[in-house]
Amino acid sequence: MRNILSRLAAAAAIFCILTMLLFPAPAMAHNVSKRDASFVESNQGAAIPAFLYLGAKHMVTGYDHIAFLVGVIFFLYRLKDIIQYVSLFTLGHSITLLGGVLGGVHANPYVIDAIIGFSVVYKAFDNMDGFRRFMGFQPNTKLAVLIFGLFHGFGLATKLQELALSKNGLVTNIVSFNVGVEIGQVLALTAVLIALSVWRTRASFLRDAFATNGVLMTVGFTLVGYQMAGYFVAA
Amino acid sequence: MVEQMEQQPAQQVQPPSKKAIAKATAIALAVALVILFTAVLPAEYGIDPLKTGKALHLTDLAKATESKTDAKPAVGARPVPAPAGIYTSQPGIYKTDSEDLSLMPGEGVEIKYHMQKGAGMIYSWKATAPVAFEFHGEPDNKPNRDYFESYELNDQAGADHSHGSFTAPSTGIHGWFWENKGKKEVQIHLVTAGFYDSAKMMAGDEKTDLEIQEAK
Repeated sequence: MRNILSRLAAAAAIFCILTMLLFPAPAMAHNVSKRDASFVESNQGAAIPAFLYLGAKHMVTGYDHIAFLVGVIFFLYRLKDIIQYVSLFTLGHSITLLGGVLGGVHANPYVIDAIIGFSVVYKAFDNMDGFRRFMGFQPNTKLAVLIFGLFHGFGLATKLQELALSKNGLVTNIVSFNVGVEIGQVLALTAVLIALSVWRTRASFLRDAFATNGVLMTVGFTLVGYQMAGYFVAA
Repeated sequence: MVEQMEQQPAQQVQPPSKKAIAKATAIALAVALVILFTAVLPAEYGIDPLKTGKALHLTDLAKATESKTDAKPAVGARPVPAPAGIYTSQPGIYKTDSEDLSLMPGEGVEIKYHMQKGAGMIYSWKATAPVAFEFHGEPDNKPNRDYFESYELNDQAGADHSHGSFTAPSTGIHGWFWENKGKKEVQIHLVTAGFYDSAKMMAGDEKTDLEIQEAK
């Protein structure tokens, strides 16, 4: 029990330090389509369906979030496990999405997106059994999903903050965006699960699992490089 | 107890060796670097150390995105169709107008100019203290009585000035509503020059026609 607590505390401390490093950086615009941006900027008051749609769209077209989710559910066979892990991810990103926007926390979107890319690398390495092989222990997978969920939430928050949100109906719109994100997540997960389930019935699954996680890791590294380069270009 | 739930009916085939994991990680990193330097960096940022971006015309993408982000609309502005050219010729000679307004706490006032679609106006106003305002317009043909289009809105913190140029998106009246939300009297000074044909002031239910000057 003490062991778990100390690890939790260490993880929380790392998260706090990392986030503090990010705060003073100004938010830079990228990634939100311009038409959506001008809609949000001209919008006054609550617009529930529009923000639901934007949230869902962001999740379904956000390949970084999907790559991470693929990594997370890659070796989860039971529905109960999938629900548990996805709920932890949802809890994590909802906390920072709502808290980030409402609290006016401005994180640097490039750094956040680089960390999101790193989360994909981490999960792929984890799926390759890398931690047990190289470090001799398995870091708590649930805790990792929760912590990376917090960063993914900051990522979502920075996307919303790039838009000048009207104070009118702010809370309703952010909550709508968040619910939209969850709807989009369910849609994306369903597609991923169907593909994985079909694949799992074949003998090739376990044979190719290792290589697939290698590809996933490549995606993660590419995202990290892309965002870090963006950070230095914008600086 | 948390740890007991660690799942993973692990890869029963053959657990990957340390060497295989290290190799896979190195390959992933190498492939990512190749993708980054040959495609992503040239296309996204115009950084092209290997000149592959130029060869594949990927750097054109970076140029296109740059000009797009530059044209970020002002906060609260509704997108107005961009004018077709550098200049737009206008049918008549321009008019000028200058107004001095005084607002007691809680008071609001509107100045509106009647303009044809596409007509231009240069404006500048200053206030002695921040006032809430909305730059907006009402087309002559509007779908309902209360219809209006907002161009610039600042009804929270307010502002003590705004200067700009404006092209009427529709034939109708276009102008400002100011409201003094402070505790002291505020003076507002407005000057405009443009191709409008009449001006009106509205305070409460009162409507007054303003005299505008023809440019000499």
